Amino acid sequence: MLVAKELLKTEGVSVASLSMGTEANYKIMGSGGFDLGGVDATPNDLIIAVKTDAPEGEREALLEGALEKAKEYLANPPGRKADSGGDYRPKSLDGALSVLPGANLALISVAGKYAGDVAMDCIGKGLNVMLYSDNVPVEKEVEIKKAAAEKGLLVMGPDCGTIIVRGVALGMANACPPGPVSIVAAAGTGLQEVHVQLARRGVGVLHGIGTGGRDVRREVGGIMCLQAVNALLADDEVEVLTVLGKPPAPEVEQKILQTVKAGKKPAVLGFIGGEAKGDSDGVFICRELEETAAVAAALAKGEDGARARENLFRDYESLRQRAETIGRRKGFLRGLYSGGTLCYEGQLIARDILGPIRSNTPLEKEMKLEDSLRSEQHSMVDYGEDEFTQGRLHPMIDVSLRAERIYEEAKDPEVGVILFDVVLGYGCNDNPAAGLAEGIRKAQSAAGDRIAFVASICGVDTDPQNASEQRRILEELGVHVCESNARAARLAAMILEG
Amino acid sequence: MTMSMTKLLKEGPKVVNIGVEQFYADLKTQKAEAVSMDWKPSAAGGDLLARLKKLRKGGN
Amino acid sequence: MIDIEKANGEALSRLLSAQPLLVGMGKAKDTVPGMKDRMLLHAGPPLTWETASGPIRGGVMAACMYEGWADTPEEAEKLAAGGAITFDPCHHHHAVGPMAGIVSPSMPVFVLENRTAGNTSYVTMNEGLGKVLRMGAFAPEVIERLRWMEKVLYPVLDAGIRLSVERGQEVDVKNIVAQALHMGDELHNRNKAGTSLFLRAIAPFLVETCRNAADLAEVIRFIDKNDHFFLNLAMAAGKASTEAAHGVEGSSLVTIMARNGTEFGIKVSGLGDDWFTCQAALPDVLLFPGFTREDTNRDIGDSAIMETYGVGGFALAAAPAIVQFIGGTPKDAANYTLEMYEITGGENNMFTIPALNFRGTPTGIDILKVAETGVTPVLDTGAAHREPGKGQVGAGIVRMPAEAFLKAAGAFADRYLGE
Repeated sequence: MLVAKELLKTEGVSVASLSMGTEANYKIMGSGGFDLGGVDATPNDLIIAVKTDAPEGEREALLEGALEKAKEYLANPPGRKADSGGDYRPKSLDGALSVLPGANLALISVAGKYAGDVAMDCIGKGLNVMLYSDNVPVEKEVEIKKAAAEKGLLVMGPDCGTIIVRGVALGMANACPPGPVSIVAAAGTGLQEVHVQLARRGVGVLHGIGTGGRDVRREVGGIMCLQAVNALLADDEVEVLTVLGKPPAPEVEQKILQTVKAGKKPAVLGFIGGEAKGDSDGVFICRELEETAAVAAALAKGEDGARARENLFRDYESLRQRAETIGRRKGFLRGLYSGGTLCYEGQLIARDILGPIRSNTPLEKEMKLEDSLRSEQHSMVDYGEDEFTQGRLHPMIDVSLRAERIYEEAKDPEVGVILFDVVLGYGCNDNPAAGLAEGIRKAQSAAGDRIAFVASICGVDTDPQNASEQRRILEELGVHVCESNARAARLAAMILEG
Repeated sequence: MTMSMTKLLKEGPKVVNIGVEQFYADLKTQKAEAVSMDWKPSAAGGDLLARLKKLRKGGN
Repeated sequence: MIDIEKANGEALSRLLSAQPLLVGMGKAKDTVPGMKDRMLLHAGPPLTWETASGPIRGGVMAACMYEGWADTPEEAEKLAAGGAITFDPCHHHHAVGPMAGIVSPSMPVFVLENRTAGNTSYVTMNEGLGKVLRMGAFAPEVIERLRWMEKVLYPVLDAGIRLSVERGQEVDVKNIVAQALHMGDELHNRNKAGTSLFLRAIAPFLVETCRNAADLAEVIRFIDKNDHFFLNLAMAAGKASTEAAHGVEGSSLVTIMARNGTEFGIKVSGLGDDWFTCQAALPDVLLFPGFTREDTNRDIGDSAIMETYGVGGFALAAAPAIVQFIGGTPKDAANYTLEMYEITGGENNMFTIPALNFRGTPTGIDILKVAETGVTPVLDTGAAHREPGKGQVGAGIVRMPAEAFLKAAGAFADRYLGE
């Protein structure tokens, strides 16, 4: 019947039928309009029957052609797909658990309005949950986390896109080797940046547990953050603990501090842009991502964390020379980010050098951009925010919006530096540099040398995209690539300074 | 009480993927144990589903 | 509060422990409980002439002429439309019928007995392929064949069956189903092995009891030419087994799935005699040459009892040839079966699938699981032409509609939640 279907595609053929010459098939073909009166086929013969509306003169040729095609198709059946795995996809949770009885984690990325109930079902079955989905109501989040806490289960999220367990990347995460450091993060790209910065310093991460951005706020109270911190403090495979994110609610921050101090393990708290200061009792407090990684790496190597921090900031000073070499520019800084925490950190750093920065996710309410699509003065835009992701793929997967925006910004004569991040790893676009390059080229045609392009690559060579390859693509275009977001933001600001 | 979470950290992830297929593909690339569900919202409306959940709990 | 799991366990065990044996034959009017004069049984849930589809009407017309109630199709139509005939589902009389499933008083039926619980089931003999009553055809050749079946096929088979019963060697239909599953049959659309095994089992008794060699030869040739002869027996075995599972308080197990060409209907073990119905599916199957989807009638037949019994579409992994027929791969066949495990209560103890490491087939459809997962039973079936008299248009895989299951689930919650 498949061959018959193919024959039907031939012009002039209105009906086609291939059947073995059994009595039953004679009857069937008969009712299909074929007069097999003169045909004397046995059940072992194949009858190829073709009906055509073509005029008398063309029928012979058509018949010959159809016969030839039929023979060809019979020798090489069309549409026979290789039986390529086609792994069974269970339709129910019970079905999934019967296929993988040892399952211990559910990775949920369905629409927010369903995700909460799906998570509850999974917790009911004793699974830990990674809740990638966002738009889960906060009441639901609390319900889920309370239920999970009662059973000693982890709920990572909502809106948690990056998890590492025993070095395995889940969601959008990088392919770095495991090691003595473990991380609890209320921030996806924050986790990725620290993960990558540690790897660059030769230090691996065993577990990277995300809690979702809302966990450390007052309404949720840091339930999961504390649960994860406690678990990692008690885990003998974890030598250094790192806790990351935007500054938590004060009472939550206190709890975390207390817990960590009582834990008797070297720890680094990276509250990005936080007020807390003062390292004590083996607990270091940092304000930036690379800083957090540098200190944690030092601790993992048994070195002096404070010294590592000093060295790092001294290193940053040398960026001034690089800025000189690149050549000062006049005008505004436009940052276009795919990573929320990176954008936040970028603003913190740039503000110290350039003054107030506007953003769709500003450090202060007054600095909020009226229209995320229209930059004003110094601006940094987070493309991972809701207004860009409704019904669209995440900017780490689809780089086209940012590429286009790069060109748009370049057309503004008052822009002097364009800054952007390139996030690599599983789950991300397989060649973001190439995608962004299109926008950069157009921008360079429009602006010539007026604009300096600065970027950071959050990734390693073992990532599917290969960080060095990505770097090469950008550097070929004259983009100034930095080793971290902190350096890139500093460099970008320094180019415009003074 | 923290046993279940610890199990995950000690065993490594054995994942039921519910949603984006790419995540499942990436796990297989890393040779992690995983199964991907073909998840759809239930045909039964929220109301009926809630009643069915009650039925299950009550009886078993 | 009712223990659903326990109730379902009980219902499933009654289904699985049923042992349907072929114990006899008889004319419907003498044998089928509740059969009356001017009564016609049909497949699926209750219907009226007005709501009946083309194949049913064609089958009714053929039956009227066969019975001698009318001489022409037009007369038959008038008779049926005029209310002179009582229509009733086969299922209301412990019977089943494939496609249109028409049973008339004079038609001979097989009688099967569930040795375990003692209940019986009934089914007519399968006419074969092409222009047949069950596909809605009513041409003279259809009637002629039915008469031959009554005058020759029936007595020959009946005598042989009697002897087998006398000797205590009744044909074990369930056993044949189990073996056929290991020989490439799934027992709904593919019954070749089952038919062969049946013929093998009954042949000696036919030979011993039939005095007329010519008749015997005709009978054997008839069965040989009809690859689906065994389907009717398998359906009756399914009926005897699933009916035994009906009536368990608190059980959400489906004991009937049936279609009449207009509606699809189910019955549930713990929900009494109520039918839960909705519009029958419009099959999207591989069509025979010359037919289009517009020609296809809605899903029809009591043969859905096979899936209710745990075979047919639920055992596609045992019959990859069927799936290939419609362009799928053996993996697709296996995946259909794997999916059915998600909506059934257990695995069959006797029907196993070699390709799945001899795992028992998914058995015991649970309306609650259907409602929760959104997965509905997959059937492997023939499709009839929507106009009476035109016969079969194709075959393939059809999904049952969810609505009937959702209605049943709602009724189950109403009854057992006590709110």
